Amino acid sequence: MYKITALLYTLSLSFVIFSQEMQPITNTVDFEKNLKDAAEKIQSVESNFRQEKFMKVFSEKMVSTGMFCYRKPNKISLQYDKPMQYTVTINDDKLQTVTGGKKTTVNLGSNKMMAQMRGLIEASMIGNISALGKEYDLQYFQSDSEYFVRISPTSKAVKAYIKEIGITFDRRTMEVRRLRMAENNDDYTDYIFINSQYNTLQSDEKFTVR
Amino acid sequence: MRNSLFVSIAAFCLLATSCGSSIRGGCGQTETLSLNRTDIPWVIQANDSLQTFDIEISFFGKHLNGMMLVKRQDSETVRILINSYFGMSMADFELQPGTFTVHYLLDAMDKPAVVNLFKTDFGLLLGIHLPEQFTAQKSLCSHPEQLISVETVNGKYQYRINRENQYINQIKAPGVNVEIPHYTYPRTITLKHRGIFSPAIVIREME
Repeated sequence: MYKITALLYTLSLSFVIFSQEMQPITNTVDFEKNLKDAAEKIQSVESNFRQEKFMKVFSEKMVSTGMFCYRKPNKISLQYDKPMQYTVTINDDKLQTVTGGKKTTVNLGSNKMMAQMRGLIEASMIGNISALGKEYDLQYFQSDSEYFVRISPTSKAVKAYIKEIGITFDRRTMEVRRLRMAENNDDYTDYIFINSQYNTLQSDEKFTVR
Repeated sequence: MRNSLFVSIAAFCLLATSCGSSIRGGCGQTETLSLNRTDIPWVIQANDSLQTFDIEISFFGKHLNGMMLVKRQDSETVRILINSYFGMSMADFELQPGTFTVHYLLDAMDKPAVVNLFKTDFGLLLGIHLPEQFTAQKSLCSHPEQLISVETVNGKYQYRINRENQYINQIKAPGVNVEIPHYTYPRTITLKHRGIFSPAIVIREME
C-alpha cells in the first residue's frame, strides 16, 4: 500500500512539475496584442544562430551555424559558415541561394505555395504572429521565463512540408529564442538565436539579390 | 536534301555520344576474370557512421544544393538523405542490392525519370548495381590505371582504378560518366549524364 501511494505521489509530482513548465495562456487577446506591439518595434534583426536538424532515421543531429539578418518589411538573409559557406536571401519576391560563387534565383511571387511558406518563415523568425492569416491554428503557452506559441498550418499544401512550428520567446524581452520547424512526427529543425541585436541595420546591403 | 540532313544529324549524334578510349584501346590484351561485387572498389563506401557530403544538382543553369547524408543500416541496406542547407528534407532513399525505396522526395523532383536517375547513380556510387558474381575483362596492357570492363544486362561498365591506392578514378556506365580526380581535396565526385536534357551532379566530401 505504501509503495502504491509513493508511486502515485511521484507521478502526480512529476505532472505538477511538467505543468509548471508550460501552462496555456488564458488571456490570449492581451498576449496577441503584446506580441504585435513587440513585433511592430522591430525594424531589423542581426543574430548569430545555431541550426540543429534532427533525423529520426539516423538518430543524429546535423548542426550548422551562421548569421541571421532581417529588415522590414520582407528581407531575410541566412549566411551559413559551418559546415559549408552558403547564403539564402529573400528580398521581396525573390529568393536567392549562393554557394561556391554560384547563384540561383527563384521568383516566389509566381508560386502561391512558396509565397505562403515565405510569409510563414518571415513571421516565425521574428515572432510576428499577427502577420499570419487564418490558415494557421495558434496555441499559446507560458512559463515563468518563456512564452511558447504552437503554429499548425491548416493548408494541405503547407502541411505537406511543415507539420507544426513552435516559437519560444523570452518572456521579459519578447525576443525569439528558439524556432522549431517539425516536418512530420519524427524530424524537425531547431533554429536557436544567440546575441540578437535589434534595429541596428541601416541599409539593405546584406539582402541584395542580383 | 532530307536524306543528307538525316545523315548529318545521325553523324552528329554518333559523334556526340561516342566514348573516349575504351578498355580495349591500346594493346588490346585482356584476361577474363570471375569477380564478386566486393572485388570492385566503391566510390562511396557506406559504413555505420554517418558520412556527410555537399551535393549540387545542375540543370539548365540552375543549381540545387544540399547536404547528402549516407549511413549503412545493416549489411545489405544503405540509407541516403538529402536536406537543403536550410534544413528542409529533400529526399530519403533506401538502397539494397536489387531494390531502391523512395521514402520521401520533394514534389518538384518526384518524377519517374528523376527517381530512376537517383536509383542508377546511387547504386553505381555504392557499388551495389553489379550482380553478386560476374565475369569481367581486365586489361593486361601496362597502363598507369587498372582497366576493368563488366558487361551486365543493363549495359557495359568500364572502370579505371588507381593501381597504388585502388581508388576509382573514372567509371563509364550506361548513360553516365563518373569522374573522381585523385588530386582534388576534398574528394569530388562528378556525374555527367549523357543526353541534352540531363543534369550534372557534383558530390563533395565535407571536411
